[in-house]
Amino acid sequence: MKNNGKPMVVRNLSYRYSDGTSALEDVSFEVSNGDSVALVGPNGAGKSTLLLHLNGILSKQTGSIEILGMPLERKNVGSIRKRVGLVFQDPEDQLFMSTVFDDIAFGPINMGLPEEQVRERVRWALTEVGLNGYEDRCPHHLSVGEKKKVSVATVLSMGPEIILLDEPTSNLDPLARRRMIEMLKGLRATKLIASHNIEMLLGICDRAILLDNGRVVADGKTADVLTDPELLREHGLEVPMLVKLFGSDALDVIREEF
Amino acid sequence: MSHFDIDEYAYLESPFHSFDPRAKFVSVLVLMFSIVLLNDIRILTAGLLLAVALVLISRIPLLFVMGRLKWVALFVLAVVIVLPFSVSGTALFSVGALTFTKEGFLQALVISVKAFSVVLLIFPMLATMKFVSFIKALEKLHVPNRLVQMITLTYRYIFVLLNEIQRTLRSIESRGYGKRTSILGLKNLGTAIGMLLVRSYERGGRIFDAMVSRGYNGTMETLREFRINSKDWAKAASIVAVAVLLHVAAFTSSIYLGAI
Repeated sequence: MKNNGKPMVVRNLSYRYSDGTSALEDVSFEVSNGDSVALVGPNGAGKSTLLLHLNGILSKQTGSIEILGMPLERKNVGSIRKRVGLVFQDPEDQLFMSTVFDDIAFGPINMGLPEEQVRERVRWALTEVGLNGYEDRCPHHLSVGEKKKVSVATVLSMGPEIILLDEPTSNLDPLARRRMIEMLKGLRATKLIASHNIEMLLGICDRAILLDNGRVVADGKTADVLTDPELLREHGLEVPMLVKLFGSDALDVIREEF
Repeated sequence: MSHFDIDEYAYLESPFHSFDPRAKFVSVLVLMFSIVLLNDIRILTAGLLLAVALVLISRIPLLFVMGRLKWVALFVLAVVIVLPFSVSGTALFSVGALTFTKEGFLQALVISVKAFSVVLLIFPMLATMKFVSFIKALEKLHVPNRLVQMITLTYRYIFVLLNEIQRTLRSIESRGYGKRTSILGLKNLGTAIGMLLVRSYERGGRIFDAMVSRGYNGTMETLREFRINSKDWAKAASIVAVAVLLHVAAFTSSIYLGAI
């Protein structure tokens, strides 16, 4: 295979918004099967724009994207969306149906699965996120933490091979954040996680891509990229306090913690 | 934030609560139309009493019903005040240049009774099930899917939007522009509404993206089979029969007693 079996290959991707602002500039990277990749960068670096490209919501202007061996083009976009799940930052955007069940069933129904399989998948996805028994609840009555978890479940139910998550832990209280992280760690899919929570990323990702001004400024092991105080400061980020205090020794503690 | 929940009492138990949502919706709708199409005040009064009886059967707390009825009363009041003076006919009394006519009064009465009966019937129809079940009933009754989607999304996002406008107003007020009655206050309200429009438009875009990324192709489907049983059929048949009877009664009374 020309992509060497890599589920995600992005080459020279650039994107400009209609007002002329450049959002992505010559972005290239590959992701291997089963990887957990951190996507970091200051606000407005282009993280969300990049994620929106990876399941074809935004269409590329220049460059190429190959997902699971298929070039991301109009004719493939349907089958790519079935296999690439995107969890939006604001669960109010992600959860648009009137019950949790309907929301999680939305993807599988659109995939044309028979009813029994849809039900089975909803049950399974709710178990994965630890929210059994929430089927008939209305999204607007859930807590933020629960909404975030249901958001993940709505994507899990489609059985994606790649999951893209935009700020999965933002706005969560510490306990809800911890539970979310544990859940993310347990997911077997290839993951790309955009977040400002460096500590969490150190805990669950092997690799980190640092974006700033739409460009990839660093791409390497999380242990290298996300513990480099100079590099992070230069791009509006900060190494976690533990790393500041204890250097690389802190990594073992963080990994154990998460 | 507390908000108006039509399905606040959906968990109670009554013959209406156990009624299949589709059969309930269709049969009560038939009854509503039947009442709206009546013009005989005697039969309409029977219709109003029937509506009250159905509300009682549905066990929806009367206080809740009254709380909603007062808004209808506000509209009806306008009609009751204007009509008797504006319709020409037999004068009953006059206030200055205005004449209060019997015909006008009767028309006002007919309209009020119709309005109250129909609004009362909304309670056994809609307040006895989760709003979601109502949406699903519409879907299963093959109401155009676009319409079902619009109702689904409206119901899902109305509370989000209400929260958003409240937050915007609070943030304006917290910066010292508290008086809502002043010109400045109105300007601020305008700003808040404008902000809401922009934010809703943007949110709409993001929701659409979220839908498309999960395979949305123009239709919104859900699972859930309602099971209609013989009791449901019996209830629906009785309600429709009453709806028909009202018209039979109106017809016979107009022949034997003469129209009013």
